[in-house]
Amino acid sequence: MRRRIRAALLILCGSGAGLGAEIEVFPSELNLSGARGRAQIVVTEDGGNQSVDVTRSASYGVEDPEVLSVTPEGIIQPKANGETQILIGDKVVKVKVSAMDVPLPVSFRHETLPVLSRMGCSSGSCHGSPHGKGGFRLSLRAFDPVLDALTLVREEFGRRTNPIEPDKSLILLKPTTQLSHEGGKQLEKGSPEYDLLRAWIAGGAALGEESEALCTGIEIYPSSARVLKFPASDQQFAVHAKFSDGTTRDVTELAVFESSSENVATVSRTGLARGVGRGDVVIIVRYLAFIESANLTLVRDIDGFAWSNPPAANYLDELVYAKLRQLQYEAAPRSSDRTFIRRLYLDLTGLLPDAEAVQQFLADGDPHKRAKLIDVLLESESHAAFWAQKWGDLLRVSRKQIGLGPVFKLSRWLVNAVATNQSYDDFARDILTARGSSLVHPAANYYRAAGDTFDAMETSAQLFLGSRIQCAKCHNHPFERWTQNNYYGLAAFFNRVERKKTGRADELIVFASKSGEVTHPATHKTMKPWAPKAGTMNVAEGKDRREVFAKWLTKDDNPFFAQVEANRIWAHVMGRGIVEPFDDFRDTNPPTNAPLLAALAKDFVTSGYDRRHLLRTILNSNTYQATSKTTPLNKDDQRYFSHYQPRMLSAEQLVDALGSITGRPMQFAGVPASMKATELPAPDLKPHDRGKIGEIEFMKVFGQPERQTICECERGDDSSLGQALELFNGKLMHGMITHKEGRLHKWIKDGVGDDEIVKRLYEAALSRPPIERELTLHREYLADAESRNQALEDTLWMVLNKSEFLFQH
Amino acid sequence: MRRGGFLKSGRWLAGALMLSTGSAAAEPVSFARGIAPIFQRQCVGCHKAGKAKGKYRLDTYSHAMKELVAGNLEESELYYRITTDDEDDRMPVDANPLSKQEIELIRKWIEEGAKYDAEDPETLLSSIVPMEEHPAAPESYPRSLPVTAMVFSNDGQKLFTGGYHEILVWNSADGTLLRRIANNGQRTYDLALSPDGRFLAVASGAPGQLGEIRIFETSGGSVVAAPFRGDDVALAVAFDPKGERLAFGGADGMLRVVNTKEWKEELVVRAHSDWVNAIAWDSAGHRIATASRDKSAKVFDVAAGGKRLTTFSGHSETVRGVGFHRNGNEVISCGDHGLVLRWKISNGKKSGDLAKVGGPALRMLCSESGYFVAGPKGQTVQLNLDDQKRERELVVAGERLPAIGEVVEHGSRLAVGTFDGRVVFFDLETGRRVREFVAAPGL
Repeated sequence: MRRRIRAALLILCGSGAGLGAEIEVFPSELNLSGARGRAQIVVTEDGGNQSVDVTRSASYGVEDPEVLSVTPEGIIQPKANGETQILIGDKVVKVKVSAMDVPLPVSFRHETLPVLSRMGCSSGSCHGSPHGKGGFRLSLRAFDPVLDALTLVREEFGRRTNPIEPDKSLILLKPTTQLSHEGGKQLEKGSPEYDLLRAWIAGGAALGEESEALCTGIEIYPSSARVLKFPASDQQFAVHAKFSDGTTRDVTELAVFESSSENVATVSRTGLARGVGRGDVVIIVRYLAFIESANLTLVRDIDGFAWSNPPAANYLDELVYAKLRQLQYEAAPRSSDRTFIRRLYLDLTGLLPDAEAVQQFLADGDPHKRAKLIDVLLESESHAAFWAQKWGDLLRVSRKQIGLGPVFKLSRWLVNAVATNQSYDDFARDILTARGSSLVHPAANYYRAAGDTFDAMETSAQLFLGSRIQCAKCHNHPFERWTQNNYYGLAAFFNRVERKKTGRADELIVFASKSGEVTHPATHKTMKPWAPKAGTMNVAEGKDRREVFAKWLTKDDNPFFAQVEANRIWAHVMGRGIVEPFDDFRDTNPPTNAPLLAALAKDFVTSGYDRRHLLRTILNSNTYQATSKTTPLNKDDQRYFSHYQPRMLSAEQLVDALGSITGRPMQFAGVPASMKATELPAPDLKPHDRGKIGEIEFMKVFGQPERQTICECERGDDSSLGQALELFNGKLMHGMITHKEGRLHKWIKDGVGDDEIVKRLYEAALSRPPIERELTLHREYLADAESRNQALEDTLWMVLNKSEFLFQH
Repeated sequence: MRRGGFLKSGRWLAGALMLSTGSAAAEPVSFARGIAPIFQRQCVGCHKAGKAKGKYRLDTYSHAMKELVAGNLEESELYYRITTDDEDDRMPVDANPLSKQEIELIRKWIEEGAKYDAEDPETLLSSIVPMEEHPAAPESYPRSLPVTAMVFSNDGQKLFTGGYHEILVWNSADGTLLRRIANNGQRTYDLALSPDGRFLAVASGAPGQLGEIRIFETSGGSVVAAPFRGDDVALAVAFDPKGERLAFGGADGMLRVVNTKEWKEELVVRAHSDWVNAIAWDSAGHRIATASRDKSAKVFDVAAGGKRLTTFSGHSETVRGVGFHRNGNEVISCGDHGLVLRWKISNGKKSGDLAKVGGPALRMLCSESGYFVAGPKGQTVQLNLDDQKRERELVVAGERLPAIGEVVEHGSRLAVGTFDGRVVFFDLETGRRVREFVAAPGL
């Protein structure tokens, strides 16, 4: 009988997996338990470089249709106990169905709570927020099942569930909007989620037996990265959960799916990812406290695209080009020498190149002149000062945080670290294990700015692991694998740091004590030091735990350490990290070019964490030296480095540029008159003067960070009305432009002609002479003028308001 | 919109009858019977005092009329909103639209002149909608219901408990079911018997939808009055010691007092900013103490028109139980933080930390035998009447998360109602558990 059915079904097979195409079916076998034990099949056709998901076009032949059926979307619906096979092409899925005769009780932990997460009830913007909504509070994404059980079943005398008429439970009436629900319609009556919640209530709203098998982890399929080519840009996912009793269950219908980038692909509640645009995307799945992710790359044939096969200057270019080629973005050619020198100076020293330097560079016939210039600038003092300033931002070097004296000492220490090209692992170790007086050992100020255990741990995690772990202080991290236990475990490396004040102003003695533990605030358990991937660690008594942490951190195979700094260095010169923001590494925020980041990190480690070497490698690449001019074939690319992305000068760069062009550099309180903005040790050397409220601080308007947090976001990079006003008619600009002892007026006094003045201004600000049309416009303006002086001031103003000046490009 | 359950309830009968004759335009649409229930059910949730989305209220006739023009559908913004196809404009927001019958009824009513057929156009709709004819209770319960309200009969021989749309009357000696009083709200949160035993006052409701105070005639079980109807549960009800007045409160945070002659309102006080959980009269019947979810407990002077005498803010969590001290100068209260506190009425300051119960203390009983506080682990803590010293604990066993929904006492017996639906009797002389039964018919 069965054979005949099978044969009949095979004949009935119409469309579906093409004859001859190799297909892969997941899973190969399954045990299904109970009427709710549905499962998702995933069928893939091998398309060479790409894979094609044919789950929804495959034909599913069921050997014994009494046991189960399969929907056109590839979902198995169990019907009766038994064993059978599902036939797809030449592949077979063996299925065993059991427990269909007796209704299986709904598991609170494994079914009810996940459904509430899936519906979004326990999300941070709804009932999972700290105070809940409308008096109803759930733990964020169900990280506390015990609390949730009490809330759902007991709170307010059992208000939310109705054991006699389950459909009248408040927990069902509200999200279906049978009663007004500010959260809107989140549940459809008769949907599987509704039926499950109703069944749970009808079954007595039980919380589960103590002996219930617990989920130990989840797997997403497909888990390995896939490349999908439009129009075959869909991918169905399936999720399996493993339990402590050795069983595996399909939880696709209980999991929550998210896409890391909705303009590359969206993902539905049923786990179907649909491509929207080119690029990389991560599909994230959550079930209970577990998060897993899978990478997809979506590619498309672009009209008119032909890979130009540009030369690669080094491995870096090769990896960038591989990605560009895959996604069909055109690689921009190299920029001109003029553009290059201006860009390089700004990136390495923060300063504009002066006209002579530009002339010399242009005139130089050496084919390696760019590499040589890079070397020269890397060794310069301005480079050390400017790049030390970047670490100053991260280490909160400010008067408010560490005191005036230490500001100078730490700042000098940082300058020295860059100037001597101290290896990054030594640098990190010096900071993390710093001890002694903050006046004698500048690195000890790290622990002054990070004034307590949790601050020190969060700072270290963000700076050296690129991870914003703070969220996990109170609950499991919403976006990452960090759990609350991990948070307190990591803190255990830093809790024995003692900080003692002395009689001397601004002095703090930092040392490691021999005792003290971190306890979990909820369980009161003592937390042993824990680090990601390494797990809990045993630290010998009396040993400084920070040294153990630093050792773990700087080990060659530590996946985080090298990547974070390599990415940061890349971000500083390219304008955007491979992971962006550069202190936010997480599975749900993947690198836009993972092989590139991995290669950079590997190079970094192999070189002995030589930062200058890494910088040199990046700067010598064609990717860095590419022009910022775009073509239709790459203008949409914001992430894959097909061209250089222009960005506005930073506050410090702008102030120094204005100063050097006008000959009236800004003066800063508390430092020598010659000190430039790009050398400033701290933004708040002058104590805040309450009497002068209203005096706009030019640099703050242009994004200078206050250095009160370690977040890279503290440096503002948005343009604003305030900036526009400063540039148009701000006090600083006006003063610099019109000053009688400024360069402009000096030239006027020296009898320099109009054309020459215009030329000099352009060379200084833009590193190029004016083109004919510009010169004509300026001549006309100057000829028309009543006052030559004023007209020339206006001309200077015009140049300084050009985007070409304000941006590095 | 509730479809299935609606049809089963008697309430729809009235509406259906009306509709079946309505289309012939013989009878004009009644606002109180036809329109107010729709507004109450579908709109008032987001359009009422204190929460008026779009600054529009629909909880009284005069407020509703602000967006209606009698006789003119086109100018009536409300009508546009319930019938438009524009998803952004349509009401109710983010939910299924009103049914065709509901829209038709509203249309007819507007066209007929949008008339008001109750007394005062400023009255809350919840007071003018017809009294619920509650659905019948199930013959036998599929599952037990938490016991959240109980009261002994005056002679102690019977125990009344709150059932599902009914009050159950049990023989307190052997736990057999004697009677079932029908036509009650879905869940009962408090029961009170008048001192003369004639009337049974019930605080009930359907969570999130309806709240009621109903007065039953004890012997016959008929509904004598329904002095309060609101849009969420009523939680506490208490007769004064002489039986002349009845005080009650609930989810709307108001304290109301009616006289027991005609059940007419004497006092309405905006007592709390959140639910009123418990109410207690002093021994003279002059003052009322209230416990609230707004984390405070207060004392009001009924004789002086409901003037607030004092507020006690020493609870850092929801206050659940309250009762006067014998001396009349202090009040004892308990709450979710598990502490039982005593405080002075004169200055609202704490005068004693009486007990810790290790979790939420959901109920407190003040009786001649002492103060009884329901703790979170199935224990009822007994405090001495005079000095409130802890005397003993009476523990209910069983279930993984034992919890108590109500505690009542008569003579030498204490009855404790649990969340898993049992009533457990304790002998107060020996402190022993003497009997228990499941307070659900059919179980």
